[in-house]
Amino acid sequence: MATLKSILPKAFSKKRLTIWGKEYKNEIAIALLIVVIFFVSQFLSPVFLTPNNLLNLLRQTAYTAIAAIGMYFVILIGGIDLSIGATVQIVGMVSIIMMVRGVPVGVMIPVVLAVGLTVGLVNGLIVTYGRLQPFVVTLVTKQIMQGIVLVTTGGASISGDVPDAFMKIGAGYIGFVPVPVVVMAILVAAAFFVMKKTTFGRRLYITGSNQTAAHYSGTNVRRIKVMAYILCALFATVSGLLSVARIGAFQPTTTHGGATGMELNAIAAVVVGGASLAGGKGSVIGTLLGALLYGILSNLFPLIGVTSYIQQLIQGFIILMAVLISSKGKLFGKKRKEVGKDG
Amino acid sequence: MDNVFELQGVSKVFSGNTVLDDVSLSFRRGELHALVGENGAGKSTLIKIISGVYRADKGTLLLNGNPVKFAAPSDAQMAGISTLFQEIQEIPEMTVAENIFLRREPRYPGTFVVDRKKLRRGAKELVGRLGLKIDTAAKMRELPVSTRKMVEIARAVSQKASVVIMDEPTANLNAEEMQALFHMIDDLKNHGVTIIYISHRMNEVFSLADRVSVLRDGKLIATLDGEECSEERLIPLMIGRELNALYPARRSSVGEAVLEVKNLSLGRHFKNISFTLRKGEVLGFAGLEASGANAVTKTLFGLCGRPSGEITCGGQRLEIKNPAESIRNGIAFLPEDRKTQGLFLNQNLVSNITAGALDSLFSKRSILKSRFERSQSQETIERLTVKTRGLHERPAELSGGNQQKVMLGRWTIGSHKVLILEEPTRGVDVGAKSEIYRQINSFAEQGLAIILFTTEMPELLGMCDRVLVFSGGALTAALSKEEATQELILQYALERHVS
Repeated sequence: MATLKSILPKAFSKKRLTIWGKEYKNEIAIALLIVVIFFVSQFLSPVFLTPNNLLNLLRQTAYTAIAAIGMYFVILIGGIDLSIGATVQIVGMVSIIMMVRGVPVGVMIPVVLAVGLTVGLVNGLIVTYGRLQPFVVTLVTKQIMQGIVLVTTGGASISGDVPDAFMKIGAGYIGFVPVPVVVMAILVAAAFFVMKKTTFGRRLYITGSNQTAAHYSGTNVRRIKVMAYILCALFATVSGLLSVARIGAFQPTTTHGGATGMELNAIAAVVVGGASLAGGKGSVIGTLLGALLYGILSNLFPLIGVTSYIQQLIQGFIILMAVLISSKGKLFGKKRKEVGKDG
Repeated sequence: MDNVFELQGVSKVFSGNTVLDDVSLSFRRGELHALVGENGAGKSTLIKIISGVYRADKGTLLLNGNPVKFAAPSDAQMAGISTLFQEIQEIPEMTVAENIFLRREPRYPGTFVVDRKKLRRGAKELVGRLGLKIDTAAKMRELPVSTRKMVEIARAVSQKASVVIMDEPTANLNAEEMQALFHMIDDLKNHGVTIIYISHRMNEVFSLADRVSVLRDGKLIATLDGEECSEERLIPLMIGRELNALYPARRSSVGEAVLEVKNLSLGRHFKNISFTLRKGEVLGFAGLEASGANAVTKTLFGLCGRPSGEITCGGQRLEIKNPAESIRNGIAFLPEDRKTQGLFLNQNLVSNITAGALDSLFSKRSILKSRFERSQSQETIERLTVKTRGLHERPAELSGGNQQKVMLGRWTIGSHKVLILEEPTRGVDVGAKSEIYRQINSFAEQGLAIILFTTEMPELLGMCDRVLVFSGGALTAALSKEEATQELILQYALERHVS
């Protein structure tokens, strides 16, 4: 008689599945958590599971998710970037100023990307060649950029004629999918490919795991680190452009897309996704799921009448839970495995 | 018998693997009791149980005849068991004095305020009494590894313990410091302190031990008196089979020059070093601390900045810049500390093994050849007989000897011309040692030119075709295999060149 075991192809053998399960423990845990929330939500809100709301949810998530993927590269090498919120602000300001003055979108976008690239390059160079803590460096660049924004705008908002083509990016659809969601999907797929299949992705992992060993085995550690900061700033730039395109104006104080808190949301998404701030651990899919979990909660809570004050509180607790589960802490599940080092 | 400490039927299981199996052992007052065995034999687990890091699943511990239970390392310390672990445990930003009195700082009576004067004085006294020359006001991070180790030893010794556990205490020490350590050990024994001693260095065990216990696969195999011990007697007990000669014969013929070094100098580290390394040759680098031997090997790999002088590799003039450049030019380098310099402990074995040849072998236009990576890694762990459950495992989960093999495996892939080995068998058991020696031989037989920097004298004598001896930043002798003896090497290593 054909047992279940014999029918399953070899790829799904028990051993392979356990290895796979161990490797993607965090991702599976968060995915399950999301499934549970979906299941429970249908009893709580009649609106949540409608296609319209779900697409809206994905659009809301896209801004954070894109920034989080950028942050993932930096966290993977054991760094951190606190300046992405400010990068988003700069990007927003520059793009709106240019468009109001009649610069075509096709010129504006490359210029803005160059601005983002420069921010990342500066961050990366100071961290690597200045031998300073990334926390300090990016805290300072964040301040400087916010200062630039306030000095330039005088704290006033900027608005004016913004080309329709640009607004389509923020509000438009490809088929039935919002453009930001499509952009997110493309960037996630690209990042996934880079991490899985390229030498650059491998070098990010090994640099994060052990810098000295990476250096000793022929990796140009400084270049890899600078690249990570550049990618982070570029992803933040894209996220910033998408959110400006939704609003069509720039406000330095209220900061669209929650730009000031953005770095923290992005870091939270990466960490919830199973990455370690010590570096060398984490995945693109985990980060995406982390951002998604965040987006789901922000979307669901207002629908079921949870005030934004309590929302913060509950979100905090859920993140804490997720992090406790994904770290090998003693609070949940099995005790940390004691590794008998050499007997 | 006057037993200070006893283990009765102690067992420990880690995720289904029995690491210790019904071990009963007693330690007498004032004896040095050596524990020997291969990596994975259960020594480390055993001392971790004694020192309160792990708890035994079965069995009892008796201290002075009374059953004890240690819930944490601090309990064991309170009970008078002080442990010197293999890894240095110090706090680098604190001074030597502060580290010595860590967690037991002298205080002003009735307060929580540390009496710094007393702390400094106490540390100075202790260091003086132990005959060490260490500046107790220096920060730990400013000191070389071996000095830090000595501080650690001083700390363990100063805890007025009745049992001191030493796990590979001589691993990073030079000859002088080793003498100081052995002195301390004698002193401790005279004061009735029991020492539990773990070392892979057999001659240490023979000269120091009052009794020797052999562990294999988690079981106690035998306990012998120190006098009955010899290599022929112990090694078969440890590995459960006869070990063929530790240094297997090599069938390589030394060929044309591969690496030619002329007048290499680097700041105050070394001056005017010239030598030639040939195909199929194993060239030993010997020297005491700061002799320049290690600085030369590091420099050749591009770790110490740009030296002056001339290096040609395979007929081509080399500009030493960085490791990446050296690897591209065919020079590979096995660093001395596998955990901090060699391995990616939390990455899988594939990432660890292919890291040195990502560009040259395992990718095309920056896209990884995943399948080729896996097959080469699989082939490598089989060839080096790495004990592992599969390529998905991480080095953190492997034993020391297997970690070392993984690191060595990285440099068996690819077309290198020169392989620089730094302490390739440090902290590795006899079985793994002979495996590594066989590998080194097979590299040489394949035509690789090998530089072997090691502080283990028998290794130099057993493995090398020639030995270069360094002292005070100068090359003091080049000895052929026939000429080289322990005495001669030491003599040249102590010769100071004033230049």
